[in-house]
Amino acid sequence: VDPKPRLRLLPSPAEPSAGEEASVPLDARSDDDLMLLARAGVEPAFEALVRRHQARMLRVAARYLGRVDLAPDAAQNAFIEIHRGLGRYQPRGRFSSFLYRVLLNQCRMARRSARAESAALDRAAREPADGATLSDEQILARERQRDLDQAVAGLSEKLRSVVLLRYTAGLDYARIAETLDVPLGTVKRRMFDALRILHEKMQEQP
Amino acid sequence: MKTRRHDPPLESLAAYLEGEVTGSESAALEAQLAEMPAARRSLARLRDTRDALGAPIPELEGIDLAPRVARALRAPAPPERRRVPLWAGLLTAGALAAVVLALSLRPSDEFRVKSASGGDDRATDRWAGVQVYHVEGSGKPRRLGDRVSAREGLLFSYTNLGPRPFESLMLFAVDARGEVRWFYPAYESPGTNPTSVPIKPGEAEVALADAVYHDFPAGPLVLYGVFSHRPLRVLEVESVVGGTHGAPARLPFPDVAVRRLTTRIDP
Repeated sequence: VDPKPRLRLLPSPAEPSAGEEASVPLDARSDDDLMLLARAGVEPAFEALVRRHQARMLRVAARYLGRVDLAPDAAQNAFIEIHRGLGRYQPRGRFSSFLYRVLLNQCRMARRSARAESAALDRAAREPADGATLSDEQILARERQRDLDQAVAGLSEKLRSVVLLRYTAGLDYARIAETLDVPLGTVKRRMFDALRILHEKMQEQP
Repeated sequence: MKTRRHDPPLESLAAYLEGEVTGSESAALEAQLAEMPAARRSLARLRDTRDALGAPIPELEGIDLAPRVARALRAPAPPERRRVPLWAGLLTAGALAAVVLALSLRPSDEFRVKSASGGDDRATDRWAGVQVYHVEGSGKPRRLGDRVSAREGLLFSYTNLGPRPFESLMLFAVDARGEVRWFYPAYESPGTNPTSVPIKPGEAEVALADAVYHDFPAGPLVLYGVFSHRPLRVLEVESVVGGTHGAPARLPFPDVAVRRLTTRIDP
């Protein structure tokens, strides 16, 4: 059963609850509510949606692509795509699945384009952004992170998507299954395969 | 006789980490972990992996996409463009067969004859080419000539041969008002910046499936095919073509081959 949208976009003066609903701050509203408000032309609602999800979106994009510099464009394009689809959005409490499905598509397109770019650019993007002196501990942490990024980049696209949706996006298995349109058992299998491979690769590191 | 103890399999540790075990399984595993340092290390490594994948990325902290997205959504929309897949039933089976035949057996060489190379490698002129066809409704596609009706759609195929075939292609036109009109890639949303389409190396007369319709103004139309080894971006091209730049014969991109053809739009 599709739940009904919980937000009344055109509150009637005859309904006393309408004023109360309108007073709910955007930050406190659900993703579905914000999508419906954005559809009705409330620009700050979409802005609130972007700010709510952008940090994780950027991290997922960066780790999926193995390139921090490509992440903002991929995430931005995903939000634009979502805005274009406002009219078709069904408020069924599945916004995060929809959001990450769009983001992964954008990442796949960006990856195809980036593949042909020079390895030099890739190397440059991996260099530390600043020349500040780092402590031994920071250097070690950066090395470990780089090793992990390489291990993730070495996963197949299917395994990479699952592990990033789980640990970087923070989705549960049911949401991941919705996002990727695969059965729950497949998600679990891929998750364990990804963890096994990452564990083996990280074990190889000094 | 002592029984040899085995470390729990990694899958059990992963399931434990993920909370995918029952209460009794969890208790049994914890008892094993208490006695097995190697298993504890494995579990710690899995935890580290999980935590590291969820950790912030310093270079991305502080980036606020909201103003960028808002700006992109306010940007003017690119000129409207309509794509009609050939298989969508708008063409009759006979016409479709005619397209396939035309694209596979009768290569047009207009682009090659009238082209101007944008790069230094003139040898590429022999190997890379674009063929253009025009079609009205469900009619039979014909090779593009000196004139075309504003109501007609354009169809393309490309040839990408030679010792160093290209990897990407852009197809666009500059109309009589100086506006850039995109065929491939599709450029339909303001704020996006799509890249060239990937093309097959070592193949000739590869048909691009959509007939593309634009609402062209009457007057000259300069068509471009830009072959490149790296994907170019739409806005990168629009910074040097159209508007005050007009329809230049050469484009300032290294290692590309530019094919250029002028036709005229009839009202």
